[in-house]
Amino acid sequence: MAGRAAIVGVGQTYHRSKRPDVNQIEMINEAVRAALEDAQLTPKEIDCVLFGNMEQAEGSYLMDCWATEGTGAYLKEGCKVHTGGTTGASVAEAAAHHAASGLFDTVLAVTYEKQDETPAGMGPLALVQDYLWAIHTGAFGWFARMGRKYMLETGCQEEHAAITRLKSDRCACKNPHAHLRLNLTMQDVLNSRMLLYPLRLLYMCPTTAGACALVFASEERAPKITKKPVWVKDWETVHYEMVGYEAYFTSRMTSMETAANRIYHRNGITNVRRDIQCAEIYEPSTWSELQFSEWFHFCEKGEAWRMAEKGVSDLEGEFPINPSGGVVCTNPIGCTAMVRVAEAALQIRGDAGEHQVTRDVKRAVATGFGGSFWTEMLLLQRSWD
Amino acid sequence: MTEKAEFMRLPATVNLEYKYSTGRYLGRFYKELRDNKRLVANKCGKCGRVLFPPRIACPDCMVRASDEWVEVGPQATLIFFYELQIPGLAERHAANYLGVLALDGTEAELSCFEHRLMVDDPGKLREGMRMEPVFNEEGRTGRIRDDILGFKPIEG
Repeated sequence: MAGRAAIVGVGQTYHRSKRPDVNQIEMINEAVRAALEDAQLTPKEIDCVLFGNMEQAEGSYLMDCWATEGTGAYLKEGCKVHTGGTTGASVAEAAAHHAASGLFDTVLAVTYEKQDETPAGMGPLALVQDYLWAIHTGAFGWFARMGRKYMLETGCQEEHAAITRLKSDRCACKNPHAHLRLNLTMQDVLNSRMLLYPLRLLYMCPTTAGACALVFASEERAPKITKKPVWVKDWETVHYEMVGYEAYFTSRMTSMETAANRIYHRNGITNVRRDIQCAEIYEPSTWSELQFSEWFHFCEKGEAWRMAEKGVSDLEGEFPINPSGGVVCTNPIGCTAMVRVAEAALQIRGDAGEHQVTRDVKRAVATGFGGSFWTEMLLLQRSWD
Repeated sequence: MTEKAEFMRLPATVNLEYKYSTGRYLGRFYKELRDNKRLVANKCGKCGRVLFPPRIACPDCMVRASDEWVEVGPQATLIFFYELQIPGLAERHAANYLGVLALDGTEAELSCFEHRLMVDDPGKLREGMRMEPVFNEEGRTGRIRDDILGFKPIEG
């Protein structure tokens, strides 16, 4: 891509389990207004609107059309991008493409999910399957297997998952936008209901209602809009074949390792924890945070649980992972990956508030995770060089 | 607005029926399953990969698959299993236990699939254990979910 793009506005709702006080379009509009206010832009100054949610999650197609009033897309260019769980990152990447292309000065990227209106796991997620082929139960099996395999291969005990979950909770309690802010104790975690050994209810992401919006601007426009543009230095999308049984095997290169290797190589990142200061990853379960951290090379293989034990991934730690509380605390599905990008951008700006990490974040990565183990990864920077 | 707002929630139900084409390759698999209780796969003419489920092109080579067919299974290795403790799941799948299985003659990482496990004593379930399919003996229609009722441990 010849041009450059930066994030110049960040907005999100206060994520909750239920939002009966607003309908979908009104909830979307909350995030859009927040992003426009953050960028100090009016709807007229937006050239293009990109939109996404988990297809069919709310039972309607063409939500980009229905939600025009909420997104502000009336008579503007734009389209819908949906890629399941990675949707939020896909929309962000598409918006960066549009802004960097030279065709648009400002691009608004909007995602949402209102899971209080859907039959959640039993509804839209039950549709994530190949009707022609075998039975498919998806996420629970994957993440349980991931946890079990991880324990067997690395010597990690359940208490390390609990330590990681408590870290997420401490972060979420400092983030007013987070959904689950529970002030948990070790006993709370270890006593939470076992869904599928070793996956407990508290290790699994919740069903959340929420929306997120980001404003992207071209290289020329970005510095005129804000003193703190967050540059989208690089991004990568990696798909996996068919239903993606990476959770069951390790001999094939995972989509996550592939994405990370490409991003690090292109950008001269040789020591990840030195060259990058913070990560917001899409961890659909606490077990995934441990496994994914290794696939993203945040530590050596088999070391993620030790990293958690030593507090390396804490807010005040050497390499903070998900200072927002992450996906186990907040999961408005189609919007979840965009929240990662938004939170990483806020860390770089120094605007995360109470959950701002101790370390000075000049560079951060944000990732998306989706069905069949798709991976998206964005590299964000305070300055381009 | 001094009056306290009432937040109403209006229900809706979506009930739709779809019809999916199997195509020539998956169709042959289902025909063999329905008529002969045989499990078959085709092969990539370039890399030799056994394509299971059978399909028209090799996803690695992106070339049209050969018309060489091989019989796979029916015995399989259990890769992973779990109990359906989440409310509603057991009813939906008509099983208390599901397993990820790899049929003999297929490459596990690329061809494993989920199916029901039929076990008298779930405590005996072990990863790596050998299993065999239980075919539906009456009114097979051509569908792996229905024509195979589930997989059971091989005795002995």
